[in-house]
Amino acid sequence: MEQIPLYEAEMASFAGLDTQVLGISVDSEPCLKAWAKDLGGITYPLLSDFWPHGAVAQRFGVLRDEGHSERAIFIIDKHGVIRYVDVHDIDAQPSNDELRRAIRQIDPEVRDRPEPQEPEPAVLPHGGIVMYCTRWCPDCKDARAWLAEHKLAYTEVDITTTPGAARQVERWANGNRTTPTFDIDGTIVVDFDLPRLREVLGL
Amino acid sequence: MTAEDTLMVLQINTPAPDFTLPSQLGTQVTLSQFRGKNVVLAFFPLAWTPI
Repeated sequence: MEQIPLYEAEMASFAGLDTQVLGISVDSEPCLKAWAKDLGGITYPLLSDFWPHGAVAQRFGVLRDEGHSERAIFIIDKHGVIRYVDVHDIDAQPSNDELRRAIRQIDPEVRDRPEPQEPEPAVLPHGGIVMYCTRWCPDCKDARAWLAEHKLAYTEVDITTTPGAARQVERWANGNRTTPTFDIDGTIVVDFDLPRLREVLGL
Repeated sequence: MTAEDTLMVLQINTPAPDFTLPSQLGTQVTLSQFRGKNVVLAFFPLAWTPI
């Protein structure tokens, strides 16, 4: 799952550490609104640092020459002091586990709080074509269209709303939440891998 | 960008500069309204891009 929707998916784990997540980019407010909707809804604020363009990014020292910001995370403590700075590789996703570890180190009030309990895993469907997906991933949209075109019946499992489904995909996909991932009568196809799907389905 | 334009990334243990910005929720958000909570402020390059 990508950075912005993953904060949404793991919101409870941050709230459990007295932590508010704020996304921020130089995009305009309508642009962020449309994107949040396309992602299936983002309930935490995505801030529009659009005008004066990138002014907040500049004050934090993370505005790039291209006019957009770095991929950078600041953790600000309960007193308003910056306690963690990670100007991340712009092409790589920061780890939420690392952020939670950092928050526990910074804030003695939450240090020893237990991890939020994951809900009981759901019984996942088996048999026929089962597609593990999200509402927003572009490859999932393409896969739905391809399945419809070939008149193939399938069951969808949304990994963001089905307890245990994301973990199952991680076990199949080397620790990644790759979507779509298919379980076709027990044969696993990771990603929208058309040659492999055709092979497994005998098309 | 010239050398004097190059801003330093804010360092650990400095107070975060306060700001108010509009959000996609239609609300104005001020950083200091979250005093008493930890804040993960996640700058990302652009909407509609992967990662």
